[in-house]
Amino acid sequence: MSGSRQIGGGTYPPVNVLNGQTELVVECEIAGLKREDVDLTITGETLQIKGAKSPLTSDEVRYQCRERGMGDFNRTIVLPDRVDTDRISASLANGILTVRLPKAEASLPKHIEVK
Amino acid sequence: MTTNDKLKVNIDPARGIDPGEDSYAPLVDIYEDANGMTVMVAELPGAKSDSIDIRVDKGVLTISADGRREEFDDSYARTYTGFVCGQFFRAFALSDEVDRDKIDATFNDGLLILKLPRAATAKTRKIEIKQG
Repeated sequence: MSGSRQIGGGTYPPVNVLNGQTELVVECEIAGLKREDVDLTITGETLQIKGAKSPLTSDEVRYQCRERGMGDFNRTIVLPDRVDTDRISASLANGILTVRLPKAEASLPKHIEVK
Repeated sequence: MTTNDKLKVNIDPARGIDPGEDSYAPLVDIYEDANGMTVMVAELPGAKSDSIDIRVDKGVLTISADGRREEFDDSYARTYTGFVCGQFFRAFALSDEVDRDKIDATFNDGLLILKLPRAATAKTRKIEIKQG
């Protein structure tokens, strides 16, 4: 649907959490932000995304239309599984942050031999 | 349609042209900078620069882009979905004051920035009064 995306609604930044066989993936939509604008931390199963979205111009300009939000943000995501915090990787491309969190050994399925 | 005589871009919330199904209107900021240049900033997260198409036709500026990705297949269960990556489309009616041949576009970090300079004919001109 055209224009179905909410403007100014919901929690910023919007995230997706995907649960794969061996890893969890957290995608985060942060168009216009650079690597250094984002701060990622993990504590146990809690991933925290912090950062600041600053305006492109410091001049006092007259906006005719202003839909993009600005300012600090802080979002906490409780992951659905345990992850190996040492092997987490994050990349930012075209405004989408992708965090790949390999599942901890303990939360991977184990085959049980029937004697 | 929002009309503002002072600024040079009119926004058409109805987005007059049929964008097709499954397209999202990108969030935009429109402002006039200190030099009188109209700047449009549109968020196109996930779009690659070669998928972005910007056209000006009969005074209507259209932005379309493809933000779809197929990185994660069905083996990934969606635990939580806060956004969907799809196609972007939005149209804007330009005022005659914009110099259509000199619109400049850049795309970085998912942000499209369009600079719309004012046409020479639309610039303020002081008219001298001749001595009678």
